Amino acid sequence: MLRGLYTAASGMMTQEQRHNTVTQNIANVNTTGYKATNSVQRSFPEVLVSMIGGNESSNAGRKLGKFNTGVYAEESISLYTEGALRETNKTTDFALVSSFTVQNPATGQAYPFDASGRYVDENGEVIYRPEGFFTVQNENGDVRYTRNGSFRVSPEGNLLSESGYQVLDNNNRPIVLTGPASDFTVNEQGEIMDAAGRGTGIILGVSIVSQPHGLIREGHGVFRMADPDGEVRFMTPADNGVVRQGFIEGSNVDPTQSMVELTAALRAYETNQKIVQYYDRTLEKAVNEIGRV
Amino acid sequence: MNNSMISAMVSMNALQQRLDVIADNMANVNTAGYKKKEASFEDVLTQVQGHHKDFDRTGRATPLGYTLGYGMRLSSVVPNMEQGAMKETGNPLDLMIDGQAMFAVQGDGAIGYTREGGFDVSPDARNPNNLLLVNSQGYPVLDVNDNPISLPAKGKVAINERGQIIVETPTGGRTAPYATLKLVELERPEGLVAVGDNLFVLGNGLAEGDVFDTTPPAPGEPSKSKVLSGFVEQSNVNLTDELTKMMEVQRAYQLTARALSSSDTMMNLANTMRG
Repeated sequence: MLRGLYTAASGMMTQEQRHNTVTQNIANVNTTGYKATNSVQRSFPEVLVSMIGGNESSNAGRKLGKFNTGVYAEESISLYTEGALRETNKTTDFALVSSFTVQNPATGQAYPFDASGRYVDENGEVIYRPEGFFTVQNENGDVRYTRNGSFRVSPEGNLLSESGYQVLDNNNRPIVLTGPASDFTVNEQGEIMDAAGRGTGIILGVSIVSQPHGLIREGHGVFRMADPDGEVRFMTPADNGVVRQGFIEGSNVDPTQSMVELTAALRAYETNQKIVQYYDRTLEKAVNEIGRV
Repeated sequence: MNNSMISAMVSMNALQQRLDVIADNMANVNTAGYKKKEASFEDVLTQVQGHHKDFDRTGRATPLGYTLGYGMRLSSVVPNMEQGAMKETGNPLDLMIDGQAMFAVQGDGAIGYTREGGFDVSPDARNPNNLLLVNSQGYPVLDVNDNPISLPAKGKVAINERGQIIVETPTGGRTAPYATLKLVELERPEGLVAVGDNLFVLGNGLAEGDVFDTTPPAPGEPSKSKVLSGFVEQSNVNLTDELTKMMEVQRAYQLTARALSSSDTMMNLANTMRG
């Protein structure tokens, strides 16, 4: 059969996947702490085509060139840029503001990350900016990470995330408050102070994940580490990050960009569909018209 | 079915629910003692479509697999217990609490807690010379010993900052506190369940002490919350806020509807591939 038929079909499938990803972003345009995902496409491995047979022996084995036989949606990359902060004045709402730095071992200087937190050095190596997350624990006791700092206090005093995950301190212990839920303050380093302004020694566990793309999205606003040995540490005063009480971080989805992407995915799908139709007509001719007398 | 369509549908449902919450708040912009509700969202369960290990090629930033969610849903609706503005009425039985405390009333079978202090009196069936202190829905207001408060019908009632009721009868001067209103300091709003009529009850399996600080202030010490007589607490709904949220929801709904119609177009393209 015609090879291109399958190439066009793979294009349709890929665009559908891209459309799915954009819809997911659009759906979460108002979700606290949501991080947009981008779909990344990659072409199928290249193949080298060479001639076989032929009348002139010199032509046999002649290389005709390389081409790809299709495309697939390779990965969904999260965009970890900060969403807009919104003031809520609630004592149990928190937002993280951070811009962590990494030193380039060769120069001793901090890497100049771009807006999306990426730096590509002269050898083409990509370095990603570490990102901060609130540390929470699910019902099985596994550590999870989230940017949604809209917490609540259970009747027992446990600080819980919106979806009911236990929030951890910087020693991986559950945070349990003793005073009234509306009467405590948290300073920029995440230390919890009681109503009288005395430090309680409990510090919100802000995890810094060195390889944020090594996180797997689980839904409910939480991420888990794909590699259990991945590098995670707790934020210290030396790091360039602060906790803001009474604020929440909005979604970082850009509605305009999403709309454009949605249309682009749809039209690219249509283009591929047209190509399939052209192949179909070609085949129709080959099957029904060639050889007709 | 098309994942895109599912995401859009799930999210439109959630947005509709959010609009309902906003409508509820706006309808209660003038309800005394009303506490606005706040809805929050989370993204729905993400599935990871598996990838063969051959997909792990150079340049890939994320672990194997393609993650895809199913839209977003409403994760919680919680009341915001922030204090509302005060409004002077001059009626001594209109009470407002300055602070985090709540009044207790005898609901049907359970004690209800409320911030609405527009109280009234109704005839006391057990004592024809007395009047029962009730809230605006007719539930008896409770005193510190969880008993209804029955006041002499002839007398002038005054209520002080600590919630003590002083009755001035025609025969004598001011008497010692006739009764003291039950005031409980709210510590864990999460343990309350809204039941309508501006009332909250304790969540399943919780005792009063789990949710409230019930220790009365020591004699001499000022109480944490003050009762203001002659005032009512207005709704804490901020119309500007709600309208802003409504616009946000409408636009998000529109955007999601566009995504839905776009995936519809896509399915149509797939269906009409062969004329």
